[in-house]
Amino acid sequence: MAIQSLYIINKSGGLIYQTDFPLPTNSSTSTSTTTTTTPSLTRLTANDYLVLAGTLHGVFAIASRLTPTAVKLTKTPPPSSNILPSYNNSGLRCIETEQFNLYIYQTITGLKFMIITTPTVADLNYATDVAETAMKSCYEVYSDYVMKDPFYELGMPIRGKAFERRLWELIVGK
Amino acid sequence: MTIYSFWVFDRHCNCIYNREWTQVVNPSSSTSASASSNTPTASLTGSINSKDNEDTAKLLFGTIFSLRNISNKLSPSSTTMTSANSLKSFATTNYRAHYYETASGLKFVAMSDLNVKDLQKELRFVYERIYVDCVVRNPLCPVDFKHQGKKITNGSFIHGIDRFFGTL
Amino acid sequence: MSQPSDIIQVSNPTQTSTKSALKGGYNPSLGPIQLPTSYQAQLASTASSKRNIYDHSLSRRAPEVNLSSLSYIFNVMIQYSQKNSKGIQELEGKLNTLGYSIGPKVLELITLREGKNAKREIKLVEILQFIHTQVWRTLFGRVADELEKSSEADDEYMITDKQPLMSEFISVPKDMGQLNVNAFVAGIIEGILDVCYFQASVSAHTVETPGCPNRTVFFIKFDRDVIERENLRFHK
Repeated sequence: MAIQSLYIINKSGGLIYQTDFPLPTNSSTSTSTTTTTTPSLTRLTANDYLVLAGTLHGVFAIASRLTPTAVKLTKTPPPSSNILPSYNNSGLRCIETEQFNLYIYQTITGLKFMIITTPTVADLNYATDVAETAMKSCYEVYSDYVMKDPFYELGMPIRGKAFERRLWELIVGK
Repeated sequence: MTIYSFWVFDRHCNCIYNREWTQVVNPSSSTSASASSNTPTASLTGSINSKDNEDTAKLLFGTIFSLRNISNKLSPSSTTMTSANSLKSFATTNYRAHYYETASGLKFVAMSDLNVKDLQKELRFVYERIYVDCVVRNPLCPVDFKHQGKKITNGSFIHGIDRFFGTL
Repeated sequence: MSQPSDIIQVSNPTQTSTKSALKGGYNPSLGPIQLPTSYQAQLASTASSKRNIYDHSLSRRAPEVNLSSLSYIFNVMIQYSQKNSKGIQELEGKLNTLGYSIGPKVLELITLREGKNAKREIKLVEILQFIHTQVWRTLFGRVADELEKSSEADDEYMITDKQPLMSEFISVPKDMGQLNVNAFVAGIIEGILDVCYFQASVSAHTVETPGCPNRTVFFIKFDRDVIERENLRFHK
């Protein structure tokens, strides 16, 4: 499970940051017979990314409306003991497709972090937790390197180099 | 392992079958339900092809449609057209929706709790053994639902679905 | 008239055993009570567990400020200065002015903390070393990275910081090009130098090196008279 892409969506559904990460070159692929070289995601136009973010923002909300009646009746809020819980009580959290997985993390302020990873072989619930931990780290970097930048305007696309640098250190460097 | 609901959409984007299993809440109906059937697997209450679910069906279809588009758009192989990336499931904190699409454009959706990891095989089974057998091979059952609001009302299909998901 | 004071004298021996019950101020049954100063000091010492920030000594060695608070207030300073200035030059000038007023105060604090070891620096190199080590340590918790003399001019010196604390979280947009928000720190240096009678102008420049994208050089250019004085005094 490698992180391929990160999106940050502001509370009104606007895409404020999008980046693709290079996939780690697996050293063991040379020996393995099945060369499953997962190609990186298709690059879209800037406009397409905006549309995509807006769509997911909407679908996120719709997904919570789809909660089955049976769950609504017996609903108990899931216990959250961690420091930065995802404030995503009923919205979309994970999308699984054949070629990638997408995870969504929402902060209490309505900011959404989304990462796209390569398909996981592990348990999907576990993978979601792992992905959320990664997104929490991104949130920390965001609150340091974006929120403390005097030249950043709230809700606008993030252009800061410091943020980008720390993010790459976090995702690619480790 | 709990299955909450099951939906079928045809290639005209209409919901042609919906089945929601609800847990029994008010005691009066619970006694009647337990009286009518003693076997736990068969004690399936809820709604079949309910009119109240029309709106939910539309929302669900919209969600599926959007997510399917996104997964196709971002798919690495979307340019080469070798194989379209298919959506398998999506999840919230409350439920997971499993999705299976046939080549003919039929869409099967099953909602389950989060502990159900993969229902691809099961949905395929529903298509192969229940839908094909009870709907396609049934000369008295329409296959193409052109008019909105038309549903599969075939008794053996409904039974088959209930029996199959009851065994899961 | 003398009645209340009598009562106090009578009741005092019994109450000394339970001192905590006796409080200064107005007691409805006894009238106003004035406690002896020695006793008040004792009371104060028992309440010392609730010391607040104002009770701490200025000489405390590890005075630390929350980095987030510092960043946010610096943010506001920059935004305020930016709103009131027309260009990069003016913005840097404003930040420099803000820092300048801090310089003399920081110097005062550091010399106070140095205690007996404090001395008045009169040599140019020594005041620069003082800034490079003591001032940096007080302000940023570590020593600055390099202190160099320009090879071209005898009145130019450079202090380098590889990772300046103030601009850690800040990304300067492309259209603001040469702006370095460490102009604020440059202002502090300038203030210190000025109040020590080493008139100079200090500016901050970003000089990127691999691995240190924020590396900042504080360029110090002394006034001509300072250099001449230095030559007359020490380089006869």
